[in-house]
Amino acid sequence: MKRILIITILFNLLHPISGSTLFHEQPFEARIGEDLVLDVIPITDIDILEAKGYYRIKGNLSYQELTLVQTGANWRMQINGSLLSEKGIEYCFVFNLANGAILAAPEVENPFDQPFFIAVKPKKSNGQEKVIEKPVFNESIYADVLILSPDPGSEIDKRDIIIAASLFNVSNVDSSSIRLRVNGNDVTKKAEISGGIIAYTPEKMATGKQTVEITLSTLDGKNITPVRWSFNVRKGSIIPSQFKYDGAMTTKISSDLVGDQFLNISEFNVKARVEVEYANIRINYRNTSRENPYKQPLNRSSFNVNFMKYLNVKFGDFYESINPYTLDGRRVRGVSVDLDLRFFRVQVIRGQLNRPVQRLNKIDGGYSLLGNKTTIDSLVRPIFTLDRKGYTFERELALTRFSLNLFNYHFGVYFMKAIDDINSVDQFISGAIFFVDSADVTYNDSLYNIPIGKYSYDEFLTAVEKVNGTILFPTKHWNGYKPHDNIVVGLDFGRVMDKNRMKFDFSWNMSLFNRDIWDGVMTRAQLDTALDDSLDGLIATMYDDDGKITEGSLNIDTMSILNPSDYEQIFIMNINMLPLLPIDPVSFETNPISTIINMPSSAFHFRLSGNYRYNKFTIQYRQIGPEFVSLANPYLTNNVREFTISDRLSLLDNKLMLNVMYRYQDDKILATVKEPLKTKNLSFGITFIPGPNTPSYVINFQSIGKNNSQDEFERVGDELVDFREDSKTINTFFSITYPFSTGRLKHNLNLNVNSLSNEDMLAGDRLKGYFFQKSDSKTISTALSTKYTLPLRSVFNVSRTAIQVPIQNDDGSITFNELSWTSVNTKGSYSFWNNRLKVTGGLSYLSNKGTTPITLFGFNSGVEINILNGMKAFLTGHMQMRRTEKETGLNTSGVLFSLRYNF
Amino acid sequence: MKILKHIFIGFIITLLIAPLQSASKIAVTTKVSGKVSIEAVGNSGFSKLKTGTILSDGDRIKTGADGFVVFIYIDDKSMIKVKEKTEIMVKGTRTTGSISKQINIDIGTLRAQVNKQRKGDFVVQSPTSVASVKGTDFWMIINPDFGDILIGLEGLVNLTNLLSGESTDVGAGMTGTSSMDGSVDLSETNPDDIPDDPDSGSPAGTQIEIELEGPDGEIKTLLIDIQ
Repeated sequence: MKRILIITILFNLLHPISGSTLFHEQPFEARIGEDLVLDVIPITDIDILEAKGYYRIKGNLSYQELTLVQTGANWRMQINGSLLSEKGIEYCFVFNLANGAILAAPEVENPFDQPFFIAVKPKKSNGQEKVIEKPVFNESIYADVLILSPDPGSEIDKRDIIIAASLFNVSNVDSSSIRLRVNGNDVTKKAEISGGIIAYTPEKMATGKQTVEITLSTLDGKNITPVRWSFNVRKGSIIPSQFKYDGAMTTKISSDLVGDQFLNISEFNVKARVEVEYANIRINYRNTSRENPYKQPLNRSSFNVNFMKYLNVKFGDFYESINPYTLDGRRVRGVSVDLDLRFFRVQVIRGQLNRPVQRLNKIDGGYSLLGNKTTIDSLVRPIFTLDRKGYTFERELALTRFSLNLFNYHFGVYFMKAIDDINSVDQFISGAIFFVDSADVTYNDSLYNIPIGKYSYDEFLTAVEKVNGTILFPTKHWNGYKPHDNIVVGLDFGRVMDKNRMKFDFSWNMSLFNRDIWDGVMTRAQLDTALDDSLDGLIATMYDDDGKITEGSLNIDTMSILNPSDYEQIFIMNINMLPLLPIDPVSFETNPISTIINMPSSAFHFRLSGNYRYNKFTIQYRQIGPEFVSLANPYLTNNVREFTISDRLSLLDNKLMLNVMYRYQDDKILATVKEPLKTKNLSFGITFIPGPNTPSYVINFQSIGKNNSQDEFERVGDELVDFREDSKTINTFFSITYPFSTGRLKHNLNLNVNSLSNEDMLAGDRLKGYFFQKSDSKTISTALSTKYTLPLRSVFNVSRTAIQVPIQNDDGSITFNELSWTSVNTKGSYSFWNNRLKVTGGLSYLSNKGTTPITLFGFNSGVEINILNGMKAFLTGHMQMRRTEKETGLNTSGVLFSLRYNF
Repeated sequence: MKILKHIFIGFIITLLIAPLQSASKIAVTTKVSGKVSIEAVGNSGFSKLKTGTILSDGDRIKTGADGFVVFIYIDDKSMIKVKEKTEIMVKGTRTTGSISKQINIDIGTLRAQVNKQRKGDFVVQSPTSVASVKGTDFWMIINPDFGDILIGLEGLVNLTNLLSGESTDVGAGMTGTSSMDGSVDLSETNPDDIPDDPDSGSPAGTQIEIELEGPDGEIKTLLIDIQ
């Protein structure tokens, strides 16, 4: 390496570097134990890529390399005082410049042969420091012993002390000669010395300065220059002595033309993080012009304090995830407290899932006249019915989870409640306009001389009073959204086994959901008649014409079960509950376990996962009942039970991976489901990635079978209809990536082929005229990315997708209409001034052939400028033209300006 | 034919003996906190990892929910910090004067602080991506379900998606993402996304310094040592 460097320096010295030189003023002397600081000033206009300093004890053959640190105009090399020797120090500097030239000091033919020299004086003795007996230096040889820990001169915490050095670069060491001394005490026997590494973890160490010395010799008995260094041990501090902060401010302004509409958006973001020793504070703020009082908020603000990983408190907007059955990443505005003591954890979340929205910003967005409900009173005066709409209730969330984590087990219980506040939406609102038209009134084609037009509530009231009419405007039970109430209770349990390589976990949950809480909680009397019509003190009791209780009645004593009013704060029980009875009492008597497991409002899973060196597997059974609801995770699919088994084998040092997965899914949770829809999914994949700069291959195969359990045709009226489904979808994917070079250009060629085909397994047994509607498709795409020796990159992409859409003709025959898309894209980027300015550009082409042929041409370009350290500006623009058989015109266009400052 | 037979026997013997050979020592742990376990190459099962443990080529390290470990390669002091809920395999091939280093990471978060005077190659490989290190300091976050995130702190790192072959250079202040669909994207780093480094921010001192002004204007400094 050194030889190459010398040759490079010699070569570069042949080239005149006009005006470039290194200025270095040698210090007069150095002293052992005192750091030697050597400054050098480069006098050049050319950017410096790398600056190195080299030093050695005089007489040694090898140099130690240090990276110079820039301090203003100076570049500094600091040699630890403990590494100096009375023999003196030889040193030189080497700078690599951006134009490929090298500057060296001293400016001689070979600075390594003719380095600077500085004399070194013996160590000052203050009488307090312990004097270490020095070995004989005269016959020692220098060796590159690398100090791993602690760094010389560093200050470390009592808890983090480990003394380690590497003899990786030292050859022929006699291991038996190695001696490790800490503050003069020989600790060699307590140290681990193996494979060229010396590691020692002291049990106790006093605070203050510590000195380490390693002595060793070669196999032929020559002493190696001892390595000595010192460091400071400090006490643990409770004072936040270190304060760090960082963050970013971003502003964005964009204007897009879509059709004939301009969409202008501006946004301002601030993110900041402050770290002190025991706390971490994060602040996020976003203000956007898209914020709209008629929709859910888009502005964001949050304040997050994390104390030593044990307590995490969040205020404002946050996205917590407890589990899929309660809250799973949905935004909450409120407070979250997470106390995690490792063996015990409490998570509490209180906040708002939806903010109240009074109306939509459009005509009939708050009120609407129910024309078909117009009536007259006994004096033939009109009664107009008005309704509220376009509103959203404030939805409040409360969630608490307790969990224990002991030994290899964990156990958790949780409770979640989400409820709409019926008082958060006002009956009378300002600014709401609704349309009044006699055509809407079904009672009479006249509005009693009320002119057609747009009215506010007050304007309509005045108009109605003029015709001696009245307005019927209910205070609740509007036709818009109904207020909901929802609770979820659950538990989870888990265990790790086989030295943490295998994990079992189980979770069970049950929900209660009320679809309409306008009328609040039911009384005992309402409870009595919830399942039958008789107020008789018995629930679900039916009578025959003679007044005798019919067979099959449950006869539950109304007074024997809980009073719904007592639990109103937990859950509002009334006739709109789902389920009305969580457990089927009849089925419970015969099959209690099965009844509990298959409760329509329960959700649970069992999962066993293994994580071994070459093998990772998961076996899972999951069931979510048809009536399980969590308002905090409304996207959870219910009415599904599934069994999954998957395995990933890693072979050839993770270069070859085999994936297998089988999943069975159906909706037969309730015994009443006679014809469940069954889905079987089998997939197999091979990924072979030999390593960087070699071709890689991916092959995936997937088979999806669907069967709706129907065996016979159905009769609809007089006609037999075939509703049976038994289909198979085969999805295959192949990808190859081939990196190659042409001259000094590096390329990456990628080819993807994806095919999807469907087969009707009952094709030979269909009624005449049956139409199998599934479409086959095929996609082929290729991309060539090229990296040039210039700071230029380009990507060229071509792809074609074709879909065969089946069409049934009037005579019942089937033909296929092919829809195809062909796209060509190219993009490139070029950097100037050492990446301070970057220009990007791209062209795109998309052509569609089918029923409505269309062609889109587009281009985009952008520039990115590094204005200051940490401040960047971006300006991008795009334009897309659209050509159809009839016309050619602008499809979309837009510009975006963004300014970002990182601090 | 006889030669082929000997070669075949030799090959089989080599395969059988290879696992018995001691793996080369390449790194040493300098900090371990929380639950951290190691499956030493050649051994079956995980055991507790301690500070000062010498790591060999092929050792697997797993951190628990509160686990954190720092280790240093012995040729150039390149430092790897492994955060909680992470699984890695430490790899390194000793060559003359350097160690060709590789970290295989299946899931989790790590920070690589590669010494500026680095020796040998340095590669971080996940099931989705390969990060070939040209720079000095970066975070890598691996999620088997979504892909990889590489946050450049200093220098330059080449991030290559193994499924598509697409690659990008990630510089300081930039974030590269490599997804399961084969795409590779580059964007400005959101400071909020940078993981906390439990090993940074160690206190520099243990004293509180309070300046007191006397009645005649003289300044006196009160130093309080924290025990």
